[in-house]
Amino acid sequence: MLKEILGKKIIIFDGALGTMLQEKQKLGQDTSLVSIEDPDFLEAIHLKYLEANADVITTNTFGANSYKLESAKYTLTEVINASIDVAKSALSKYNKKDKFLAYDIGPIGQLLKPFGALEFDEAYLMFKEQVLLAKDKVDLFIIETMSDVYELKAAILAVKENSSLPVFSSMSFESDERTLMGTDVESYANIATNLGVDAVGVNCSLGPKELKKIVFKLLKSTNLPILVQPNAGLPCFKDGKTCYNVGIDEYVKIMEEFALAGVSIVGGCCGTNPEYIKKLSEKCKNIKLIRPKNLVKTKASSSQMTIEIGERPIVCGERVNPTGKKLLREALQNQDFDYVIHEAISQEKAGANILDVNVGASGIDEISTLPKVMKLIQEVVMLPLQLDSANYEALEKSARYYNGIPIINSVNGKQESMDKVFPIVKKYGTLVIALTLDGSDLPKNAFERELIAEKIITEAKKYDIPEERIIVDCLVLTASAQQAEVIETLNAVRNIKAKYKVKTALGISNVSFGLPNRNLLNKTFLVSALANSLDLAIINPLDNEMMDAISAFNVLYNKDLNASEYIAKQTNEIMEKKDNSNLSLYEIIKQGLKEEASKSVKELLKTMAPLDIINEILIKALDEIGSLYESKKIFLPQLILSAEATKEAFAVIQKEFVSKDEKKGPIILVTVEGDIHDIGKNIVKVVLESYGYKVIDLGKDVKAEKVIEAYKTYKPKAIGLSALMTTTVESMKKTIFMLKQIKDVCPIIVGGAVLTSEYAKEINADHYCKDAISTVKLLEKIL
Amino acid sequence: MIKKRALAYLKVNSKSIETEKMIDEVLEEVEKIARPKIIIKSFDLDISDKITIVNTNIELTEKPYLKLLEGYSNCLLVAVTLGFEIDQKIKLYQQIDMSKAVVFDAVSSAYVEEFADNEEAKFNLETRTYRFCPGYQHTSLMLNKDIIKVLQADKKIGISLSKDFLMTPLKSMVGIIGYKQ
Repeated sequence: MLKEILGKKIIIFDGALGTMLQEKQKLGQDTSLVSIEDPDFLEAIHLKYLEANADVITTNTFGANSYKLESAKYTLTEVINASIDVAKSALSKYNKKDKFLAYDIGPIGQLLKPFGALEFDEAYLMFKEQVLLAKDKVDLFIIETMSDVYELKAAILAVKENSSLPVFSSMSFESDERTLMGTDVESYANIATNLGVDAVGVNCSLGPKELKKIVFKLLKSTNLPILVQPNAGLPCFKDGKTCYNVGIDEYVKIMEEFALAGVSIVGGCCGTNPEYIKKLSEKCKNIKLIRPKNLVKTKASSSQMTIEIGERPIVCGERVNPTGKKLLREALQNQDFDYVIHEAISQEKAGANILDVNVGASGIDEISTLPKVMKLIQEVVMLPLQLDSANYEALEKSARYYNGIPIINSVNGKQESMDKVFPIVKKYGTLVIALTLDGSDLPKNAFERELIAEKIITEAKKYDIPEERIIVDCLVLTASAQQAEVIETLNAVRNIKAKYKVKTALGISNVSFGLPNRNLLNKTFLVSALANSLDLAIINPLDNEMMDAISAFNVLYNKDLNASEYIAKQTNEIMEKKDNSNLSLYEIIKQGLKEEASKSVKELLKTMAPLDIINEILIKALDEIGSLYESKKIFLPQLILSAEATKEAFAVIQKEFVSKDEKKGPIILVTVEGDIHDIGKNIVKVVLESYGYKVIDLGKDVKAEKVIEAYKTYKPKAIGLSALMTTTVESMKKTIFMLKQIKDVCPIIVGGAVLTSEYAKEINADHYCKDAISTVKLLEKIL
Repeated sequence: MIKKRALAYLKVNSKSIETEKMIDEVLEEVEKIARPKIIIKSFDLDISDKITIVNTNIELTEKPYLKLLEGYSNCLLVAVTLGFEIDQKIKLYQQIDMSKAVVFDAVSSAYVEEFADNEEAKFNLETRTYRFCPGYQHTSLMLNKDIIKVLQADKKIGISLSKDFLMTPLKSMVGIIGYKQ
């Protein structure tokens, strides 16, 4: 049984299949088809690896997925079945015990959203169909040569949810120690380990020497067995063929080093062959495995970054939470996600390490909104996220689609909560905030909190959730109402940290509710809490005093060595800002000074009516800018700067005086299905908004049906369709056709690099606009 | 060259000091975060009524290729990308500074072209065509898939194709250059 020797003895994997098969093939042909077209050749290779003392051979299914084999002569089922049959035939011919067959899952070949077009669920299904075909015929799954850790997650879930066989994961790294999608070793190790793989590894891209730093980092980042399958060095291309520059002796020497350091599964990738594996087995097979155990740490990860909780104070930004925030609540209710994303970005800029994401408010469907907002934030912010909801379905969905290892906020001591939340924490490998609450009454003292913490920790162990993945929140009460108990929270934090391997969190600002000078109480309490072993402070990172308090704490508690960060922060030179205070609003708009715009409008509103400001200044300035742009005296960047400054000005006016019903439009903007270029559409959006239009942006790669749905929901005054590529103009045609079925549909405007007014007529659009300014002019005319 | 190309992409056809300043700032940032990668392989051509790229499964039948490669004995297949960190940055700037996003987009397009040109120049080809990318002169984008497959550009440098043959990361190119031995 594989599980008996895993991590206890050295296991030898086979070497390259792909490069060996390619010797007989033309470049570009699918190597997995050899399983059907030349099974004897393939079987001979499998046999050679077995004779070279490989313990595990892998099926010839690296490219066997429905995307890569879409236009192949054979079905996916035929290819997979044939590949497994050939491998099994080799095994039975070799006829020795203790040999294992691994089903090889390779990358799909398409990038997942948001950077590509493939949905997570589509990727999952493409892996699932392979798993279902193979699970009864093989001994384990190996997911290898992955560069996207999100795709890896889909594959791991597909294996674990559809089979009970062991699963190994292996990623490919570049020489800068990141995958092509930017994942570092530590984040990969955290994600794969927490998702419950049986071995974590690296393969391909690099030779053994180049992999050294990565392998040694991996050894420190997980306690799982490690798998290493380098290329035979770096590739060179001679006489139309690829060759590799590392010979057998050099290769095996370094692999031996790895095995002595604790790597327990060794094999080979591109450029290796049975000779390599034979020597590898000779040198490594009988090495006594010594693997020092690493301390288990509490780590949250995005796909590109891991934050360790417990070494020094960690700031979790609390601003993405509609409770008590009218504007945020309204933005969520209006599906204005830009506002939410800006809150996330500004917290990152202010120094938050992790961001809490909460969308719970009346009128908001958390089950669809939480994962949506989470994904949008993950597109532009690389910090790990804390998924905050009382809705279990929303938590489950978000944890599933999260790229990395998130924190779930939260579980509490009630049985129902633990029954619902712990399975999510287990399946998706998350961290979890555990509230010391188990009834409707708040715990009275430290001891009651400790009892509840113990209850939660014990229950978590039934799910194999270790203490290190739990972050206990001992509940901060307000000093104004429960003054004597504030200190009980701190006592509980200290005692729980001393007794268990959990970490601790607190929502600090609760303490000052109802008292004057909240800032002073908050930062004093924060420092007290940190001194009592608080690890994760849930605060507003835009509050400079709180952030400064943490910075000072880090110096005093020897976290910030030589106080270098503190000194840099305190002596940070404030750049001399040009004094633009004497500029008129008109000039500010013309010069595109976004920051000055809102200040200037606020001043003007003291003496001028809002509609006058809009018509006499803002629109006039924009019109002049538009003319300068059309006469090529200024260009697109300057146009956009002015548009953005105007948008700021409008936002101030709308906030104070004008209700949202008086905004012009709405106008729907869409990049049609098949097209993922959206910068042009986004420019139009900014310029339209600067002219006071409400814009509903449906995004990119949008199916016609979704456009129809949006039309019926929002009843726009006009729809703008954008497409950049000639191939996607067909989608535009289809969308227009479907829209025109609606009685009295609004005007349809098209734009994009490949379009012309003639072509627009051909596809039955009502108008063609070549750029943002002409779109505005047209709308002013027709609406 | 990068600056000149970027200005052209931004349709700046007269002096604009402001735009040039933005380009300079942005170029520094692009250079820092781009992870440019390229695969260039040379092949023999077999030319008759169609063109076969020898040792591969690629056959070129569209007229623009026949015209481009007439008289040439060899070709280079090229796949190049700046990596997806550029895509990420463009997305971020679209949220917080659209003007910068537009300049960033133009500068990174210019950067990838320049990078490819410099790498191709190392082959010292005396007689060569320009770099022809699938899609030029209304040729089919489907060839993107074939070239990516031959060069294993998905696995080696992370270029992938949507079902409409659009490449990601955004600043990626795939192309063919004819040359004489």
